Amino acid sequence: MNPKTQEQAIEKATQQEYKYGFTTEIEADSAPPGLNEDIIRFISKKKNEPSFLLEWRLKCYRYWTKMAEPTWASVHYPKIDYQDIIYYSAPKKGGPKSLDEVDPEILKTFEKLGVPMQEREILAGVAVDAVMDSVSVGTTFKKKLAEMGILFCSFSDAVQEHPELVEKYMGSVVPYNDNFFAALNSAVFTDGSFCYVPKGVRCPMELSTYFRINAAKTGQFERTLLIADEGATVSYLEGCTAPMRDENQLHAAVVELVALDNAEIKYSTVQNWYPGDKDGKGGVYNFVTKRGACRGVNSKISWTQVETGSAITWKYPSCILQGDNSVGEFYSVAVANNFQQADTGTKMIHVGKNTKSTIISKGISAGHGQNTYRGMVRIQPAAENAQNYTQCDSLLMGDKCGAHTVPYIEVKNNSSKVGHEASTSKISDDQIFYCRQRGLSSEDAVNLIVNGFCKEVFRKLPMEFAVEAQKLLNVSLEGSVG
Amino acid sequence: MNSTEVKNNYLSVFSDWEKTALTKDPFWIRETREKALSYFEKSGFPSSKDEAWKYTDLDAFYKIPFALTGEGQTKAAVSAELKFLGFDTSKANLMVFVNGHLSKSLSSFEDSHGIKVRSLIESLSNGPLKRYFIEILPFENRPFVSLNYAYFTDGLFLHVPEGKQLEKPVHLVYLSDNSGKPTQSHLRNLILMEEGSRATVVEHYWGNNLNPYFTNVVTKVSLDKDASLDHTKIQQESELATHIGVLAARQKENSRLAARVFSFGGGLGRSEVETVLAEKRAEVALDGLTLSTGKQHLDIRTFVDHLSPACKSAQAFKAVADKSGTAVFDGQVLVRENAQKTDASQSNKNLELSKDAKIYSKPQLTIYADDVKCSHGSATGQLDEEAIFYFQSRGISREEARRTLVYAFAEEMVGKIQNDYVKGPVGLMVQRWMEEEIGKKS
Amino acid sequence: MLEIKNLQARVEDKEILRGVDLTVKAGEVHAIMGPNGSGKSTLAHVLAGREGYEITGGQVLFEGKDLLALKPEDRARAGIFLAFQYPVEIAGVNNTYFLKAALNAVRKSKGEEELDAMDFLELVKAKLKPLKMDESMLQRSVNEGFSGGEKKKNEVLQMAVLEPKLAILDETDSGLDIDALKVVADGVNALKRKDRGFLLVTHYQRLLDYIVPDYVHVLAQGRIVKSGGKELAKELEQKGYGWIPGAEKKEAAV
Repeated sequence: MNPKTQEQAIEKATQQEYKYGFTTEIEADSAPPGLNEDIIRFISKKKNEPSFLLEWRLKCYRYWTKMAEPTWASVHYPKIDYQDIIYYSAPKKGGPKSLDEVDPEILKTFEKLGVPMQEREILAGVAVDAVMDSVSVGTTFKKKLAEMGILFCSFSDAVQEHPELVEKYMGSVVPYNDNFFAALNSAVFTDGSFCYVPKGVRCPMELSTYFRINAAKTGQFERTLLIADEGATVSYLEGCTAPMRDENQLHAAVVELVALDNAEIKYSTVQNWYPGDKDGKGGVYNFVTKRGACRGVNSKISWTQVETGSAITWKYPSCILQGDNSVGEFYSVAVANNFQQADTGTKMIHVGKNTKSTIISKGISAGHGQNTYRGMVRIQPAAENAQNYTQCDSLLMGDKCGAHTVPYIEVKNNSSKVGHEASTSKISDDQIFYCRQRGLSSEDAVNLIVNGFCKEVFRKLPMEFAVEAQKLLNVSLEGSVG
Repeated sequence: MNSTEVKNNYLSVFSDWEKTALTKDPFWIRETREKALSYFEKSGFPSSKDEAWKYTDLDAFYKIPFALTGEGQTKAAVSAELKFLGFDTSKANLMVFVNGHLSKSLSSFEDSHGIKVRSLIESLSNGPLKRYFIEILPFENRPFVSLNYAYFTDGLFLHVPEGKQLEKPVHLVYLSDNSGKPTQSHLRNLILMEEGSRATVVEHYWGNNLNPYFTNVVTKVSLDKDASLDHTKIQQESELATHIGVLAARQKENSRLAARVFSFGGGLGRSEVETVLAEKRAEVALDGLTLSTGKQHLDIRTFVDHLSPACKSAQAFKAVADKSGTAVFDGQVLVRENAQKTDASQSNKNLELSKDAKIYSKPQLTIYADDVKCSHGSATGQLDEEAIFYFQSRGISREEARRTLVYAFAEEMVGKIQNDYVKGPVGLMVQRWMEEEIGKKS
Repeated sequence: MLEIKNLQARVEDKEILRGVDLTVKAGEVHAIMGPNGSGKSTLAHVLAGREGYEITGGQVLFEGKDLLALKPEDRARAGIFLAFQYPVEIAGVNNTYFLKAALNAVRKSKGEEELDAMDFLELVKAKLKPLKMDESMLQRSVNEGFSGGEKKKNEVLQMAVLEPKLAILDETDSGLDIDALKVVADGVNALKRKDRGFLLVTHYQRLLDYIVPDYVHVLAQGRIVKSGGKELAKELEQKGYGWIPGAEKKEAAV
């Protein structure tokens, strides 16, 4: 296949317009733009928070004002004016108690997005905690889960109903002074999800949250806290979209996971925030701090992410492997197309004995996209017999994009084994010709090959998410037979 | 002292030092020295917040008041020692530098067939070498390089004209005197290889001094079309030494550079190798072996800049860390937009032999072209217990088994040396290291 | 079915095909033999539409239509199948899925209904048996980690499923031991039909012991310099290529 034709095929395959660009007409109850202690008091008051939380927010805010935005990542963007952002925007009409009370406009939005909550509730057995802008708008299945002792609710509800759990675990994995964006989130977060799975309980269904940035100029600062008590298991799905806007929207979330003895948490994300248009105008700035602590023995935390959206992605879902025999996993597909920039990866910090971690990262760069894998594997002196295996593959589509691999490997224990492998390739002309000789169009050939490249990661996603993820890469479902 | 005090010291002694030491410098060199120093004044020393120095802490270096000295004397029986190390110096152009100054009495070298093998400082005074001197490695962003620009005293000047082949390798030996005071030397080598020329150079840093000393070296290499240089650096400084060195090359079409770093000595050792593959089909092979024990901190940093299409780079670095030794590998491959058909590989393998040893590995790929073949790998582990047991079951002691296995791991890098003048001695050094270090109680 | 008239092609500045004439009718098996570098594989690639070759003259008609004007996938959909000398590996893409996508692309172009997963699986399993292929091969990635024999069998399986009108086999015997060769040849023989033509491109006569051709052509220096029946292949095996006028300069090392 000559370079020209292949270029066209790749262009066609990679230049899909953003499907989820529509805004919902809902009256928003917003704070004025800008950030100061009054705004924080306003947020806290709006949410009727206990005093410990207000104090914490103020402490975080004061610390944040002394911090500088980090510059080490391979992402470039104009300076963010933090005084031009609206830090609180809640859909009006009070807090809904059930789906019936949810604003029909919002429900329609979810339907357009392919998140028909009612349908899911009945057909798929998924409990959805949907966050539009900053406030959780509805939690399904809450009652059924409550019967098993599982607490699954919006973060605001958790603050009201389980303040002791919030106080105990919030900030225990991602301290407020961890980094610039985490500190900002800690000061101004408005809502998010909370989940507590008690001792010995296996959560019988996938828990799901849907995040969506809606109002103009709003930042979304959600906070997720997920605790799996001894012997508990839970699988959690997170989906994200944002409407098309010309200006950049800021998203700075914090996710904290805690796994106690023998507990297991699987956390899957499909991130499809608006990436900006073909010329790099608009798009979401996604600065997210996600971290899990394997506190207990034999605990396991597994991160799977498919990152196709956002103009800028700055995200390193990490595991602190404290408990002996604990396991951390990170499976990632990151796409940087047009003018997207992704700097993503993980940190695996091995503290306990016999801890194991696996990192599989697949980066796809197209157009002018820049994709960086940045990952740290640290074996602490006490981590006897720790093991890590890392594999990072990059696929380049076109000659104007970039693929970068920046691993940091630190080994301070001599009974450990750490291996890192990386490769960079493009789709070969031979592969495309082979597919075309069997009757496939060149676009289908490209999609097929890209999908094959990502397979190891897609396989880790729950089925319905895998379907969504593959759709996002504009390919038809692979392996429906096999 | 802390880093600011050391910096201020370098700034304040310059004018006195310049007056006494550098009377023969042509104007442009003095100018360059001053520029570099004023740059250093702004930059100061790197801190561990600097990405390039993330894993190498300089606190110990700041604590020692290294003095700038004039020509030094060494009491070492240089030729006997070199013989003991396995070198047959009759087969080389031998240049011995003491405290950064060429010792003519200990050296034996000559020009031949139009090939110049000379002292750099004398050549700079005579020849129009300004272009080469400043190109290739500017001092911006490089505190130790800017210090070197300001304070360098001498080094090798090698010029191989078109089509010529240097028959005897150049063996550079760098020593520091044993005067009892902490001393420092700033060395500068310049190697110019014209079209189709070939040469072999050995940079050999060596000492068993009882006082601390500091060596700061910059080697610049220019390779024209089809030229080929085989370069080996042996860093065998005393364990009280701080060694910081950079080899920077620029390669034209179809030129070949083989650069190896054997890092055995020094308390704090940092060796950087970088090359710009500036024209098509240039090739570079970078190899290295680090043996770090005691409290040594040995750091290797590489940077290969694929600027042009169809170039090839291969990097293979291995390290053994024992006792409280630390080994760092920080390697980068940059493939620029134009550099289609690039073939780049990078491999870093590490063996960690003791509980307190530390390994840091950071192999990086930065790729802006799509039709490329790039890969890297890093593996860190320990000796295979099963293999040790297998040896034991055949009657071989555990220590002997460990020594054999570590040697087998390290020997691969010795095997990559093409030139017999260097290969034998380096093999011997590795062997002796195994005998002395593996099996000794920690 | 296939008419090649004075076909000329080159790669960059090198002329490879210098005027090939050949007609294949439905139901016929033609073998193209020739020394290394004679242009055999180029001919196969040009017919399948591999880019990188410049057609400098002549024409190719397939069922009366101008084949060279079609994109590779449209040639495949029209019924031309190339069994590759070096089948390509595609990591992570399930073999069955690939084959189903290919079959449905072909069916769709003919206005036929696409097969669903279950029907397709049945079809493939039926085709698999005579090839002595293990079902596990269906679950693996396309050609990835396959042995030489497995790859060639996989090509024949694809041929069996796609049911082309004209099958071009490019050095299908290369890299096969005798047992694998027999299995592959049996698979091909089972696919012989009145309405299907075969073009076997091969360096060695060995393959023709198992797949007996109706016609044998010698390609040398970009032209067909001799044609004959299946006996010609035997003669070539004994005497090499040197005795044929037009092929004498480049004696093959047989």
